Amino acid sequence: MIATKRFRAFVALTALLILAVGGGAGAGPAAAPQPVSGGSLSIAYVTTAPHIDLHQVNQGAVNEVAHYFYETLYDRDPNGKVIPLLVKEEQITPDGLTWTLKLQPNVKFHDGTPLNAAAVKWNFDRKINRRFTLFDILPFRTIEAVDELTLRLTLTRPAPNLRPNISTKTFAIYSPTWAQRVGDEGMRLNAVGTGPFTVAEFRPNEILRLRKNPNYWQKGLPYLDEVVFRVVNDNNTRATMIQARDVDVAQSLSVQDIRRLKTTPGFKILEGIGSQQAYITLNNAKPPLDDVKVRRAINHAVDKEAIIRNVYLGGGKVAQAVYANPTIDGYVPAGSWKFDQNAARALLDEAGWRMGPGGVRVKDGRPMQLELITRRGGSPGDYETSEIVQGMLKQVGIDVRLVVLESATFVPRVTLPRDRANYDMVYLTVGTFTGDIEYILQTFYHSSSAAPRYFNRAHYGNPVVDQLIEQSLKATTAKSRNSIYMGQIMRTVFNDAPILQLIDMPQELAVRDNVHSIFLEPAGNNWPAKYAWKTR
Amino acid sequence: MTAYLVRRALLSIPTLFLVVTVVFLAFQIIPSDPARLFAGETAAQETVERIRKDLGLDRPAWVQYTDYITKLVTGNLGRSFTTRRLVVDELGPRFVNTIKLSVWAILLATTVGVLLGTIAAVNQGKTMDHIATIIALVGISIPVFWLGLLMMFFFSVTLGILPAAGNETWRHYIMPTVALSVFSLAFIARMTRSSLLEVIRQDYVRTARAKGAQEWVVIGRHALANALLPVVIVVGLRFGFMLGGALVVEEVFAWPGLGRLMIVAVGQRDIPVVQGVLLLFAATFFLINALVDLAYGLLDPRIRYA
Repeated sequence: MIATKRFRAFVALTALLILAVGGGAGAGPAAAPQPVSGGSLSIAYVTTAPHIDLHQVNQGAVNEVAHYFYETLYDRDPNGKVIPLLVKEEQITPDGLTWTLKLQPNVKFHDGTPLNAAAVKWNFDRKINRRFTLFDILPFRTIEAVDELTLRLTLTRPAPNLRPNISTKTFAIYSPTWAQRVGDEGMRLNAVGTGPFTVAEFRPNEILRLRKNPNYWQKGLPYLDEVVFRVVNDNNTRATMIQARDVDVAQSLSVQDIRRLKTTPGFKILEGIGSQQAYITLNNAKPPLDDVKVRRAINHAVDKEAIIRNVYLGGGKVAQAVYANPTIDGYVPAGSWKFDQNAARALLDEAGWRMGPGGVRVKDGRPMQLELITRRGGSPGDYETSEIVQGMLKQVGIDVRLVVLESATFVPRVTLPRDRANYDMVYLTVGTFTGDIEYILQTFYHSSSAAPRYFNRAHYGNPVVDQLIEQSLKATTAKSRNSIYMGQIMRTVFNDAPILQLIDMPQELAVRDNVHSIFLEPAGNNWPAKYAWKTR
Repeated sequence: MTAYLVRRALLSIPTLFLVVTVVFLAFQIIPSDPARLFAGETAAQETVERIRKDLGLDRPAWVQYTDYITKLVTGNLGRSFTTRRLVVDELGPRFVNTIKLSVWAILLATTVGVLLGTIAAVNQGKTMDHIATIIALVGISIPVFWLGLLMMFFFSVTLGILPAAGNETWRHYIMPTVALSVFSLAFIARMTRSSLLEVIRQDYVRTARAKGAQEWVVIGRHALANALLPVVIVVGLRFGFMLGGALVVEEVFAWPGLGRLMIVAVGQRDIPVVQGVLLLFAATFFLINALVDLAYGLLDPRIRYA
């Protein structure tokens, strides 16, 4: 009897498989349609960026528009892998200190001038001389234009992460001829690069209209005639615009709108994990959070899965390392603190915080009252997550008061040197846009990265970690660096619990279903559509 | 009359000065750091300090203030902190967009408002009056952003006949104009109704009727002409307030006007732009008030300005 049942199931399954394969063969050509040229792509997005002088900023919304008109020496493919773009060949000496880069030949800027080694040198020089953002991640001793297409870089130390670092959009290559002619002012409102599109019209906080570059050096690209970015800062308006088919793409929609569009015919939702992590910084320099037991207790007390369910409606993943996530080269999962409020209570007892009146713990006559500084809409889910954390910490006897600030007040309030940092907890997000762990090591983990110099707002420092980081920076290849040091560094930082480790945030984009070849670039957390195309 | 206008203009100067000073002080008091904001959250301290110096924010507050005032006196509004363009260039096109929207909205509000108010007054206590009163009540109570979103959803998503946001064609004007006018429309309708009701009871209206004039002549020429005097003031004031109301409408419909410019500028602590927008608002308000006073004098021969 049982054998018969199994046999029947087998037959049914085989029949299904045959059907599926047969159907698949028939549907083959439709599944991979050929790109067609022409058409205009319009994108509703949020920004308050006043200019497009890429060298001066490293901001998501500016990076979002950058790759259409400016190019970098290296780029990223849809899988996040670093690939050469304006560079054709590279030679690196065994000590890792001299890089000889051959540029792509026959590349012209939009003004007709050629891309050459001197032009690239001019761009790096501008960045460094003007101390524009991220100039300090360039380890250059000298930059030399050897001949028309050969650039020689000598470094102060081996930099296995040089490729990902300079693939960051802020290291865009401008036409020096144009740039010197128009000056700083002109570079803010226009752009002359080598990209597949040229800037046709730019009005800050309003519109950015891009037109196809007919002389683009990669033959056959781009497909679109025009790309239009519309600045629409109201969440509901963006959702309405894509639903009314006024735009083809809408960014940063609310979780509710995303869920609705998912089931609406004619639209698709692109989803992925970018490099953004949501966390709550704990001020390691100020009691009671200077006690590692208290910090661990806070990590045990919060149910991260509940945040994913309630705030992100199922999107995102529980973070498995401090600040870092799987999109980053050098990432090693170190773990997450199990949701276990009894463990949290035991740790707080151990640290001397006994349950007091009104369900608030007390030590030496002082109740455990902490301030959590947060924003509303500074990033998706910031306030909602803070509220959940407040409620969960209450359950273990920690009284949290929420302080909601607008962005302009928020940033200076939480960017203070150790002796003036008077906050307890701050809701923040971090994105490793270089896609390489060194950014985290140098601007978050190392004790010298403490705010305001860099972003270690926890004022965390551990001599063991510092020493490991310094050794890791001498490694000549990313592979050796990662395998020797990263596991130990990540696990040590994790055990020190400098922050309340929360969520690797989901990235979502609403797109009309006739748009193809648009993808998430994980490190930049943006959605390049420079080689996208539309079916009519 | 010229003397009157000159006096009004002179009177406005201390007020504008006060506006500038209060805004400056407000930005000194609220905790924020424009240089850090422009540099972005991921900028190193060294970059922030360079920007601070570029913007002149490393100087003491009183130096920044006197510098600003000195330039202002010569008509120089300075440069935007964020775009580094002249504030005048930032304001110009935005002001035109806001004025265009406001003019259409006030025209709509006045014509429909007066019509609605007249219908209500003439049919006092009847069904038409009740309908008009309810429309006016809804118009005054409805939040503008919500009305905007409702219209957008209905006309753009469901019916697909109007573009949701932007300002390219005349079709883009329809929804923002309606949204911006609704409150004023209701206000004007109410005002017209009560004013007209008062006038209709006057002796000269009865006389006109007794002479055998047709009803529309009685209402149109005799009653309305007098009843509209207070309405003129309301229209003028509403136009001034509309510049403020445009803040919400412009944000919802992504309309590139002064309101949106100001929201962004405040968020970014772009003080020169905020100063510029507020000065322009204040000056426009002054101008409108003066014009309303003049219009009042022209419409009512009993009022004279010396």
